[in-house]
Amino acid sequence: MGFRIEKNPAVPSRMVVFSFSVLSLFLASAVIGIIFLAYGINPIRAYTDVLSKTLGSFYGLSEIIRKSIPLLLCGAGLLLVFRTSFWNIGAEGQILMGALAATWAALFSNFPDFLLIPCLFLFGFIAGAVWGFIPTVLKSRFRISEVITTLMMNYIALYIVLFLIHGPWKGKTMRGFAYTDKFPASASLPLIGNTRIHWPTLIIALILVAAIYIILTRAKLGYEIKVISQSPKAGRYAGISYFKTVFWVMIISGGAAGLAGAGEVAGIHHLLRHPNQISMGYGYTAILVAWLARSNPVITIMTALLMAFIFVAGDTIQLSFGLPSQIVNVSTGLILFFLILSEGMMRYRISWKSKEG
Amino acid sequence: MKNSNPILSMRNITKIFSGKVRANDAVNLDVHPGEIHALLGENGAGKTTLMNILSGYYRADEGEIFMHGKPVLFKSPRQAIENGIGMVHQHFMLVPQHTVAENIALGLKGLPFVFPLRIIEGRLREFVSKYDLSIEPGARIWQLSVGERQKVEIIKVLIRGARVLILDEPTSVLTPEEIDRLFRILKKMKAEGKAIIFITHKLGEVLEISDYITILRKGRVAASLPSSAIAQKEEKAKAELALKMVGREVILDVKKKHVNLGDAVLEVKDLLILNDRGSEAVKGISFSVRRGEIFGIVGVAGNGQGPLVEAITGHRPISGGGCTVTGEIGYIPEDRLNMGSVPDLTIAENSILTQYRNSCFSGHLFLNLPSIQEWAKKLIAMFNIMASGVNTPAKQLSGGNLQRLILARELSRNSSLLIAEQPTHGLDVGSIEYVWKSILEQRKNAGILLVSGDLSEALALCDRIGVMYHGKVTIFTGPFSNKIEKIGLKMIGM
Amino acid sequence: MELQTFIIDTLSRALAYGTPLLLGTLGEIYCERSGVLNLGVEGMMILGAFAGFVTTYATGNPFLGVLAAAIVGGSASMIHAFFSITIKTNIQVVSGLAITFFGLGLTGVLGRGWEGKPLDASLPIIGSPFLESIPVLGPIFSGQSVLVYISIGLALILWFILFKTSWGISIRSAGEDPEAADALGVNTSLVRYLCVLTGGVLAGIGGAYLSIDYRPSWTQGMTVGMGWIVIALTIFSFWNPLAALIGSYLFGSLFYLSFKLQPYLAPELLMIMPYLTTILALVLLNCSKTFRRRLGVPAALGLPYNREEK
Repeated sequence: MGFRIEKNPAVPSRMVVFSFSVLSLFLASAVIGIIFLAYGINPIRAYTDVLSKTLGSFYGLSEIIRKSIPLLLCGAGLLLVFRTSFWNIGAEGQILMGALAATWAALFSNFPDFLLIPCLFLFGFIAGAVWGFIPTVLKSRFRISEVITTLMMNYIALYIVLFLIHGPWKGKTMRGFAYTDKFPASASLPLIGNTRIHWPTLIIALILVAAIYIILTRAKLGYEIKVISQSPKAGRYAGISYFKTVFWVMIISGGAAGLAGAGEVAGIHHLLRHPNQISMGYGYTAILVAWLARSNPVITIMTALLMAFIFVAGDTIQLSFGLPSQIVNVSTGLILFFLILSEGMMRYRISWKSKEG
Repeated sequence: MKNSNPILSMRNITKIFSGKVRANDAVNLDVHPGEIHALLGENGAGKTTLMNILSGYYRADEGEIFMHGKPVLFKSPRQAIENGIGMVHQHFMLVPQHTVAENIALGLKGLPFVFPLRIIEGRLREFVSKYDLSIEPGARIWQLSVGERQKVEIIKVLIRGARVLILDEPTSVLTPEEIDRLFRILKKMKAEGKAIIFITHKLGEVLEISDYITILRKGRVAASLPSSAIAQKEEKAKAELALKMVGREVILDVKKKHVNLGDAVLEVKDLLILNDRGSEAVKGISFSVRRGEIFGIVGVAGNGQGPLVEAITGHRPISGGGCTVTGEIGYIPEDRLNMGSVPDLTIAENSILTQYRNSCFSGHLFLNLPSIQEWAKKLIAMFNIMASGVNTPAKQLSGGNLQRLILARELSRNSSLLIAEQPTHGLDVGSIEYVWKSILEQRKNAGILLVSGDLSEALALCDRIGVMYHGKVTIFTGPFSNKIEKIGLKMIGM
Repeated sequence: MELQTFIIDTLSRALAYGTPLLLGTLGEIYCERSGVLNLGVEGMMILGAFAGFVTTYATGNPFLGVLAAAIVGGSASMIHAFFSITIKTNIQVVSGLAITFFGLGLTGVLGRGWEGKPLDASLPIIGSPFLESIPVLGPIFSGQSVLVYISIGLALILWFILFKTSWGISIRSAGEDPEAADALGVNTSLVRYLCVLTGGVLAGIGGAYLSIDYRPSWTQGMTVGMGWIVIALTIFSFWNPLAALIGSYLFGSLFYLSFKLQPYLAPELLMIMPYLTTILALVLLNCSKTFRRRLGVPAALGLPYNREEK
């Protein structure tokens, strides 16, 4: 008997995709279990403990929801972008620019109090959209790979924020810490009860998901995205401009990430601080949120919650077992590995055949 | 020459693609040393597939290859090269950013590890004296003309010790002077005792240079005979042979009702179009299409039809002359699966592909889904499309039904010019008749430009036929019954 | 005199700080020249830094540490190679990011107990009275780790292989036009595997240089984004190992200057330079078609190659 790996021409069904995704998650948690074992922790006990402190507690649940807000905003936007085969890995930078613009609105603008929150979101959206727009121009004008430019722009955003909090925007009341001053009360988002869920951003995120769902199913833009993503040639035949489509999609996606940044500073931190504390890699994790959801924006609600759960679980593991919170990155990496592997397995099949005499 | 043993024999070669398409069907081929063997056939006749099997790219499903009488099996291009078979592809396999010497050195065995290019430069001088193949080793490929690139490809093959050279449509990209030069080089190689397989679809061109001719049609050998036998034959017999290649099978009986001619809807005057490489694909042609008439463009693929259609539909810039279209264009593209439709989208979504901006189907931002559904249902009913519903993906449609959908969409656009590109290629007889009937019907509203590689189709439908060859067009006016041979000969450049 | 000391100091530190960048960039140049984009440099570097530190700490032999880093970095790169060359997923971006996530995470988890431990053994330092006596160059080059010299030598060797040998032709062809290379019997998969491996090994060694030599200790996330600068540098040096030499030391000097010039200039603005200049370099590169073709991006970068897909 010999075997051959062949390309499987059939498109995997939804059920297959779903079960492979679940399998990937399962395998990743199994490997994490080995790490627990290596630290002398019973993995079963660890997992029950994590579950009871996250899904099983009010605080844990509220934290999952809070962390899913930026993931949902970025993830749903990225889902739209990835359908056009434009590799925007710059959501992280777009979040930071959104946070920065919102901070400017909160601290340095003179908007009346009742307009402050809407303006803060608006500025966040615009800043994120501009940050998303630049790579689009660089690609259409100079044919520069968006993978590189979006990545570079993440770092440019990071250092701009660092520059501001160490320099011109450094808070006068902060005793030498690298923060801006605190936002006025009128620029702070309302929270649900004693949780940290800043509900206006959550609602915006849900509206965005609905809007993206509507775009994909009912809007002209969605129709154009579907045509060019399936067949660029048919797109040209139908007179659809690739760059015009990507332009709008990047405005939405960059803007959504900007909103996420605005929500984080105005809802959680109430000041601008070190970028790693504002975003914690939401922009990169959102790639996973979008990718896990495949092509359905509604599923990003689930995948964003899932990734938020992994974040909160990481915090819990840190607190309960004294393991570093970096375990979150390990699981993210592992899930991705297994997903790519299953992606490959879905596209290929092994055919067994007896050797010809 | 026939008394020498063949250097290469292919026996009963069969290749089946994706389980059904027989690209080669029990093909036999013998090539002798010092022979230029022309392999003729239309696009899709299986010439390139056969040669890809010979040069180790594909593996035959059945059949054997013999070199010097011994059976050989090539699992990779490398093995074919080691056995002395070298192929010059139609699309050159050269790395554009690299120099001539680097391209020649790539993968070449027996070169020193360091400074391999010095050896190449020395070897290149040999080729200058031997075959008059001079080339600047330090030049980068992208700076070279097409003819020069071809030289590099030939040197690449020769330097690897090829005794059998395969040239896939080597003249299609060359200027007449370059063709002359190529033929001189080929003759020198022939004198050296090398065997040359020359793939082409132009009979006229190879008559003088080739020793033997094999004609493939639909994957089978249609004829195989010495060139001298053809050259002496009369015009009539040559035409017969030509038609063996381009085909003149059953001409379905088509009833054409008389339609009054209207104004010209397409006016092409001294049109000049460049291809992607920047050379002239269409060389100053003129014709017009009037409302109520079907104008056919026939020719073997690659003679400028593609760029012509692209220019008329506005997808390619015009470099000279003029092209005026009155009113809107309906366009049935050749590539139905990836251009004319989007397989993963639903029938309804595909039914508005070229018209989704129309105010019936969409507003400023949103699509008008109910009216799209209704529209798709209407098209399905009107054109007898067999589908389980308008919301099933288009890829579930059979080839004939998919073409009906595209036809339905393009015919219903109220366009004054309809361009139909290979509208019946690969369809069953029933669908072909339906497509023909619809196109004839459309004459009432529009002028039709039918681009077809199938001569019998053009003969059956068209009022006038323009034969395209090398970017030029020769126009014939119907009835065609006594002009078929002439048209066939024009198609292959005679 | 003041100025001269300043320049000598800057250059000397640029050499030291530029070395991990240089090692990573040389590796990524090979990787990308062969047509594979690996965004996992940061992950491979941190894995190398950790493996190098632990091995050196345990064995007391820094050379074993470097070897371990090379093996670990190389192994991590093989995951990426498998995904992008064998499985041919069209998602090299994701797989590279996954390696970065994984590397940062794993070293963060495993490295907890190693933080703050001192390292006694260190790589030998090249320095001699003779070297020091050479004006200007002497003080810059003496007192540097042996890896600094090795990496300079490596840059020259890798440049030579890439442009003056038959391997180099195969590597560059695999990245420009795998179909043409395949037609001539070059095993493009093997070439790509080896180049990705080179990338992983060198990134690993670059990481080890940080943890064994530059700052002989282990801290979580000690590569501080160097892997991303490597990606930028690869482009900035137009995929040329000799230019990488200049680029790495230029960016290395920026690190030193951003620290040294703090009273006069915000360090963050200097740190933006690598990223900004890379984008500007790409814009300039793409302004002229001739220029792009002369130096350009490997044409098949990031694209899997599949013979049957023709």
